[in-house]
Amino acid sequence: MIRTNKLVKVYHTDEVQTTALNELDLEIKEGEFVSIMGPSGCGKSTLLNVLGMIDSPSSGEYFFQDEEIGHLSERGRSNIRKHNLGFVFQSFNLIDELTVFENVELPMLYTKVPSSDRKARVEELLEDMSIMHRRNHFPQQLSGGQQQRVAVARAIVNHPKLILADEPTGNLDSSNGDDVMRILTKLNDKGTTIVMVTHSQYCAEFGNRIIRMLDGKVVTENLVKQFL
Amino acid sequence: MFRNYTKIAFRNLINQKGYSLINIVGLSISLAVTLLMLLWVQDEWSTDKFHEKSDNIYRMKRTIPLEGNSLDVYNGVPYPVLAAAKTELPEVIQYTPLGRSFEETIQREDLAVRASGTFGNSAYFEIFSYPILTGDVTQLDKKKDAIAISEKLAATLYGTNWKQNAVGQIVHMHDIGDFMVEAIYANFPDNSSIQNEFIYSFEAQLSANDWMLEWTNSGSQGALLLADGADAAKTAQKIEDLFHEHQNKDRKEGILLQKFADHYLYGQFDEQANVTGGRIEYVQTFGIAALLLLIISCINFVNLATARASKRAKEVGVRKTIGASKNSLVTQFLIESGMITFISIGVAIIISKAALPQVNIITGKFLHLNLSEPMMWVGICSIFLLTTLLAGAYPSFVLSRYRPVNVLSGSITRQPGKNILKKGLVVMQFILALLLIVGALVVEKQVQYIKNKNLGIAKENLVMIHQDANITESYDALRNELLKKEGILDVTVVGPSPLNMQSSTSGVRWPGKRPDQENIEFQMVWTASNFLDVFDVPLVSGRYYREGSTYDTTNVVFNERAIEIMGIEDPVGKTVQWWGSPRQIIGVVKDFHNRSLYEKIKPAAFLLDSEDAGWLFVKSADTKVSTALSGLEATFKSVLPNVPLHYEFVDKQYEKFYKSEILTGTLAKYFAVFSIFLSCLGLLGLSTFFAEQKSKEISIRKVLGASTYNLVGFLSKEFLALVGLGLLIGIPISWFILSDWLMTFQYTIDLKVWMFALPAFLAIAIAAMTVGFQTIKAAIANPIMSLRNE
Repeated sequence: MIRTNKLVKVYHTDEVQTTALNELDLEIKEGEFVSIMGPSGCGKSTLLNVLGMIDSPSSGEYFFQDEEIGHLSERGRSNIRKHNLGFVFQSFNLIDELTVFENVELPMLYTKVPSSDRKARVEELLEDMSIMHRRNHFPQQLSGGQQQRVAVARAIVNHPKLILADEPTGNLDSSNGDDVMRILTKLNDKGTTIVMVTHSQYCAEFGNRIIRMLDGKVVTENLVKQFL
Repeated sequence: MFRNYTKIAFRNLINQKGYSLINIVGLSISLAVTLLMLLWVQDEWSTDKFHEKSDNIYRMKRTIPLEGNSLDVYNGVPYPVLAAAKTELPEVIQYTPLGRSFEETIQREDLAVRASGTFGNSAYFEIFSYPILTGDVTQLDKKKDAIAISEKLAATLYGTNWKQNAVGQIVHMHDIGDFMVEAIYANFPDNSSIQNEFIYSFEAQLSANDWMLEWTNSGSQGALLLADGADAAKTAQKIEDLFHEHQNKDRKEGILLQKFADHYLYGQFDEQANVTGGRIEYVQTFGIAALLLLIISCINFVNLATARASKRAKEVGVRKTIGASKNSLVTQFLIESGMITFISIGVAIIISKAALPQVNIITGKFLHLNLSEPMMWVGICSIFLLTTLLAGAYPSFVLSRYRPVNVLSGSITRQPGKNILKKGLVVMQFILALLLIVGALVVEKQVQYIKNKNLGIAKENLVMIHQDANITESYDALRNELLKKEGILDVTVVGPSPLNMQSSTSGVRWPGKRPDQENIEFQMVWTASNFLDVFDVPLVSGRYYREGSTYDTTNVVFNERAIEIMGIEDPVGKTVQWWGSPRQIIGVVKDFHNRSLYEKIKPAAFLLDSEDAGWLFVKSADTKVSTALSGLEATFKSVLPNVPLHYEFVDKQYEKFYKSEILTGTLAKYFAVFSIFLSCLGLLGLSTFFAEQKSKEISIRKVLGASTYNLVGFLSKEFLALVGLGLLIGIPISWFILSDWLMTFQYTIDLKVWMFALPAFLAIAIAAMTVGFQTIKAAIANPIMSLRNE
């Protein structure tokens, strides 16, 4: 599903140049659950952003479903994003002015799903996430765990092929963190590819494969369990 | 999607109450002002354009060559030129004389009413679109005693059944005689520059004023109706040729045809008789002022929206991440600004409706905010779109440009160097505010100067009464009675008003008159022998007319300017030719302002003829004006019981010359107050956000030992520097614009430093108070609260 070839990302500030990804090669197959680990500043989040097409590489190639993304315009990347990708963030990133229902519904507005289908899909997901009773609440009225479940629901509402999760349990207590990891695992079991950045070995082991990064490169890869 | 956008816009509106309030209050006020100004501008713009044949109606004007190839343009033309244009030129379909409207008492049996009107012919109603409701208006051409009256006057004189009762009835005009009502016309619309409640037969006017038939007398005015496709310039040339055939060879006056619909707004000409402006300048000035106010409040919107952009950045990042395109975000933010504008327009309409009566008093108009008119909605929708785009376009662009990767990684909140536009807009706001405040002050000072200027002639404690035939007949009795009344110091007759000498002649010849002096016009005023006493005008040499002296009617008195132009040394006793007859100069009076202050003092001749003097002037003692007025009323009741008394104070009438300037002064004051209010409203919003953004820095500085004084200085200095910069740039701009405006007057105030320094000081003081309120609040806040939040 994902293949990178000598991917480089360099950040320039006034006088400093930082190489976040350094000729990184990576391949992720459809249906995999890959955890990416490494110390702060090793380039994990940058990799996730590039894979999620919200940032572009400085050089190298990135193939998503065998299509090279580098030459696509912002509009083209946005199109791929809204139909194929779902994002889960550490800080949830729900829109404060929208209710739980409206936050989950939002991606479907951009993919022009008819209103009745949207309603049914959102309700189905809110039931699955056990937050149906909170459908009319605003994000600030929810606990962290509930907010992350809403964020996960929003990430999967368009049936994405790939979910990119950046420290999804980083702001949660262990119980809520477990809940989120179970949901992600369940999604992966149903065939959704997941790429997750985490600092937690415990969470990383929910995946099939753990990639460790240092200074913008993959240094080790370990299979946690056999990916079929 | 649209629902989602409006929902989020509405929730933002509710959640950000302070921000919404600042925007809505600011926009509502400026939109209300814009709406009212547009109504006024539209009214001015539509003046005289309602005539169906508007494209073919022209006003005939006369140009007079002056020294150095320059031309002067006058409305007065000889009546025979008008008439000849129609008979000689096929492209001239019709003509009508245009009389000056005057007030007259019209009596039907015991009912006497005061109405204004003039003379005219039936072509008047053929050329202009003033519909005839009943009767036969062609009778104006057939019968000398025919009169057409307006629907309003008919209803006043004949009640609700005027349609049946008025035509064929006799009315008595106190000064002119008896007339039979032959036709009734619809009231002239409010946007007609001519307002006549009666039009009596031109034949009657002509038979009593045979001078109108002279080719050399330019005391008439008129309009022509040209054929479709006729070239006005070529027609004017042909009329000029006709005119020259009857003119003195040394005197080559020209003819100019100006579209009747343009006459009202474009009344000023340059030295080559090209239109340079006129009332249109006021229309443009107020239109621009309204637009400036709208821009000031849109700047507030832009600044506040971009200041709080970081608060919306997360939303933009999330939306983009899940697939929103840049265009959809631009649409979303434009809908948000559209919603604020929509609410503001609603409030603005309510404000405008409430303010309209006051606006009508100030402008002397009958403006209506008629929401059932489709054109009104076209205007409102245009303002809506313009404001939404002005206010919303830039913030939408800024917000939709955010890259999600920056937003979601938290690197968007600080954007060094990106505030240049915001700062620039604050500077611009205060440039505009200063311009409006200094403008208001200077216009007010000039108006005060005009009102209070020593004109060299008394205008205080004087009332003027239009002298009709009855008053002329009973003048001696009236004067004797009036002089017995307490408080009345003197009574005289003059015509026209010496403060605005309307009549002029070029028919004065003197020894040594050069050919280039052929066209010099001398203003004329007919007076009684006590003119100088009543008006406190000093005599420079010789004497004024003696009471009862018939010999003096062949003499003349000039002002200093006239003597200077004629270059006569020791003028008293010298003779000039006046309309071909000799007149001896018996005196010279000191110059006084005999026209508006836009013009220099004109050469003038004072003639003795109390019967031709159209106005009765009554002078009262300084402290006894009301006693004198009671005496005046009582005298009229006893001497002329059938003549209703209508008087006007001379100083008030004088102020009417400067109606536009006084209106400008009044409106400028409103604009100045609104502009400073709106600018400070914007500053309040910005300083609030600034203090919020800097709360962590303030707390750290406070923990490290900064005093409240230090912190207020730290927070305020940037804003006050911007305001100061705006004012510094605004001073030369406003100086330039106002000196240009003052140059239109011949007599003006001097621009003084304080006229700029005081508004600048006031603006900075108000701005300091506005910013200070927020900064002190931020500076005295508990630093722990903000650091804990971090």
